[in-house]
Amino acid sequence: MKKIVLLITSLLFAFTVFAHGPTPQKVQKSVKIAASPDKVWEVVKDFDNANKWLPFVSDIKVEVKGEDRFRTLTLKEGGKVLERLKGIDDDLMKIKFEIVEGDVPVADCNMYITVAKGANDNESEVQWTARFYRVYKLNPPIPEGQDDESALNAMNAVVDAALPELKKFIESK
Amino acid sequence: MIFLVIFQGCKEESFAIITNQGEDTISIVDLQNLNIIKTIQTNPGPLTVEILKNNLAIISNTKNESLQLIDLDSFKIIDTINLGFTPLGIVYVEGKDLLYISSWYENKLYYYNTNTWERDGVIPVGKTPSGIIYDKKRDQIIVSNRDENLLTIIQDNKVIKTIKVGDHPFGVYLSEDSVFSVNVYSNDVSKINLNTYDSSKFNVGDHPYNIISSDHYLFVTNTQDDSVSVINKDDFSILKTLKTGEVPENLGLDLLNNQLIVTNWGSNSISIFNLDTLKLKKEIPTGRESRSFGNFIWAK
Repeated sequence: MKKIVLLITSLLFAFTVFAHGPTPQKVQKSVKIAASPDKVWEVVKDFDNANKWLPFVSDIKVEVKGEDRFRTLTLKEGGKVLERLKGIDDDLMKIKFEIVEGDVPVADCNMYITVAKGANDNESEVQWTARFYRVYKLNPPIPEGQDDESALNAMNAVVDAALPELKKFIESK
Repeated sequence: MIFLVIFQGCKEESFAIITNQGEDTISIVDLQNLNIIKTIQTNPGPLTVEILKNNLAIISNTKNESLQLIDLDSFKIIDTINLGFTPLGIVYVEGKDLLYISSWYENKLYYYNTNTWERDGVIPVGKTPSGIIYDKKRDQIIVSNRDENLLTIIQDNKVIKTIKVGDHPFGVYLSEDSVFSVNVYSNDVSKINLNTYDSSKFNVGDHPYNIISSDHYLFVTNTQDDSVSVINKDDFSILKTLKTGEVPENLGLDLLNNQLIVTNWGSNSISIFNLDTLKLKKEIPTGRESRSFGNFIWAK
């Protein structure tokens, strides 16, 4: 866990959503959870209270501005990430959100989490997909920590840490 | 259009060349039977596809600064052209045997002779040149410059005009006397009349990416809505929204089989729609991060 947060917070800098490189990066991972899709979806769709299971978050603050809903995640080892809810689709069991700004070395990061039925009624599969770019968009050489690898490492670390915790949280309920 | 129908009428089979950027392969899809007939390993980062003459296609490899030439009879890679820059958009000008390639990091457009594969010249353009099209009627090349919100118009290998469009233009498309740019951040499409340079915009979905036109409609992919907007060509209103796979990026028309092909980066697949009914016919798994920027449909 410490390593994960270090990966994120040791690369502290503000990024802008207008900066990204040419190739979108992808993290797509899934976990099987021993609970019904309905039960899992109730947790996954709860944008305001994701700190219950996101392991690297110490606090969450929700703000509504016009039609937009934002959450600010305070990271346990320092730093913040501001995210915007982009949609909740109960039929598809899909929640979409984006990073607006924060202490994570990615740009234009759009994410979605889906819940699907597993092999039996009491099993679900949760898939988390992130599409993002590295921070540095100009000509190489690319500054350390702003390359594709840094962006991928950070997002892999986030999803690798979060999905097992989601599983643990739901299965222990 | 009549010419196109006659041209297509001589053809018997069509194929899609799908670049899977996340696994360094291309999938060859038989568009009659809607299945993959071959998967070919490529250089790292295959992205853009363009069809050349003599049953050849070319792909750009963004991660090792090269192009690769594909023989469309055998579906084999027959040559690699090392560029020394990161290629993004590609367009082939058949009458001149020239291939124009946008160099993403250098803000330049290079052009190569497709007989010798020697570099013929270079044209400085705006920042992050992305999509390219050739306007045969005016003998012009048009490039979107994503980070400057501009289109650059080139004639005789010189920039003759720049045109302001929406925020983050990426895909560009020519239809009759208008050029369309898809503006990723402003969630709209700019339409510019190439005779008068009058411009207008119409709204589409979230993070649109590319555009194509059939006889009846314009189609725009919305990467963050998992959809394609079907646009009325008279008033540019949204007639319908088609559900695609996840994160749809690029589009191709298979006129031989009356189909719209959409590449889905997120779900590693392509979605195929009937062009008349606009119903989904099939979603075919392809490879990781399917993209196929450019012209990726081929008929023989």
